[in-house]
Amino acid sequence: MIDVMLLVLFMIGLGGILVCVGVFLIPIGGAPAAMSTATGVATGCEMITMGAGVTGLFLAAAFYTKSLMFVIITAGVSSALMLAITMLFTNLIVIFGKGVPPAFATKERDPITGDPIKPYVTPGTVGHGVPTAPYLGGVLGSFLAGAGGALAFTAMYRFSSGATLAEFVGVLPQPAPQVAAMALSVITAVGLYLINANIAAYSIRGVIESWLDPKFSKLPRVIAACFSASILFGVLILLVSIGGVG
Amino acid sequence: MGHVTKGAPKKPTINPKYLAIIGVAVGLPGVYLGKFSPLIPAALAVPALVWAADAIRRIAGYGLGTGVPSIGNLAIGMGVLTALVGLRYEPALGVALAALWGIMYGVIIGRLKILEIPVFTRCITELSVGASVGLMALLSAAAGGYTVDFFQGRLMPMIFLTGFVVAVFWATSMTIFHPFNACLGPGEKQTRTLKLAVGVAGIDVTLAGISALGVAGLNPSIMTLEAAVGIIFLGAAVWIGGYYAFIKAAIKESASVMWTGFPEAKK
Repeated sequence: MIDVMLLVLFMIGLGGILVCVGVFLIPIGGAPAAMSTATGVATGCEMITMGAGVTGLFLAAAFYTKSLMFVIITAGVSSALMLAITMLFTNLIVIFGKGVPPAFATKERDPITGDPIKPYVTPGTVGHGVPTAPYLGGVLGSFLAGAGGALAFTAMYRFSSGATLAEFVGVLPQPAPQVAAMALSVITAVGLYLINANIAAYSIRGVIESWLDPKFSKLPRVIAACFSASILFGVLILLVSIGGVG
Repeated sequence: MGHVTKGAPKKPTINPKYLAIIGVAVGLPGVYLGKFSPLIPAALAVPALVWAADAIRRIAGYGLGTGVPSIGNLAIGMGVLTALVGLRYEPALGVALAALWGIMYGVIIGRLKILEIPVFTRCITELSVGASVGLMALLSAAAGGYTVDFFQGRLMPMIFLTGFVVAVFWATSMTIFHPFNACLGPGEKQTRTLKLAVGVAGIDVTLAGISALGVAGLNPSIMTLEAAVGIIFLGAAVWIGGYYAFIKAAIKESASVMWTGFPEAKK
């Protein structure tokens, strides 16, 4: 039993780290981006974290019997797709609706395409839309966040439905889902995402331009905080779901 | 008509210590008294939620870098985990864990220099305990009162399987963050914000009552129809009373609008 509990705690902690690294890679603009005065997606850090995590959670809940690797990768891809579409429509609205080109002010040229990008920044703003480099960072970031969300949820569900150690990484032989265990795991997983999302949100202070931002150097400290907070609250999750529910 | 003094220090007229004592001393016995009638925890959840709203008021004044709702969601994330532990084993244990885990979370955030706000640990502990007590009271009220074998026998099949938990979860989150989010600004006053907090807590109790109505339809042996309707009426009364007091206070404390006449036309 102890080995299973330690594995669950480790999976929850790893999920927290993946969610946090994902947030650092996603270009988050917050309210300034909604007015096209900052680069990124026009919503807050916490909502994006929740969105990416919950998209991963949906996939993990749908494929609850499949092997862990399959669940994580599918959930990551679905989450990346979700954010890619969001950023595409952000760009469509910024370019064709507001008539401003995607640009950012931290670098002279786009590191991926090599095009000059700073001259297109409107004076008085720090950028607008989602240019190529933050776009790719965002796709990778939401892949990681979705995978982390799926990892944490899968660990919680398999623990509360009483899986053995081998069943955690392999196929879960369940003919029908245990709905009570799934409902409990969804609520505890959402609680955990909210706790991790806030650590990321406080450390980036609301706005980040993917991996080009100077705030990206804060990442090691934030990973340590997310891992310890996830383990801390993972203990409570173990206490709630130990021995199976319903 | 009063007028707003801009830049004056925000003096709390109600000491947060009293709110904390009332919140725990009323909310926690409310959870245990639920075996007599589910109306008791529904009514006694309100002080704990008002206390949590006051804690948000004190911490969000610092400017966290993200919106006020994020810290309300953090409170509910910590609160739901401790509340579930409390409802599974012993509600008093849930409150103790909420306080302990809140302190440890605050220490992690402070030591790793994620956010350097002097009152963070204290406020996050208060938020965690307030959200935990409020959720325990509301969830136990919606499931017919805390009794022996509450978690497996009542909470899981009646609240989690039906999905009512999501409504109570998010409504409680909104109860905690909405009052300060709506009232913030230079003329913010504690008494006015807390009147709104009472009103929004009424919405939360009403939603728990609607969940209780569903539980009464599913299993009349643990929840009578009268009690469920009683919770809805109680919540509606708190809702209307809180908003009435809030709007009266807002009208009384708002800046007066004076008619100064038309500006003289330039010649």
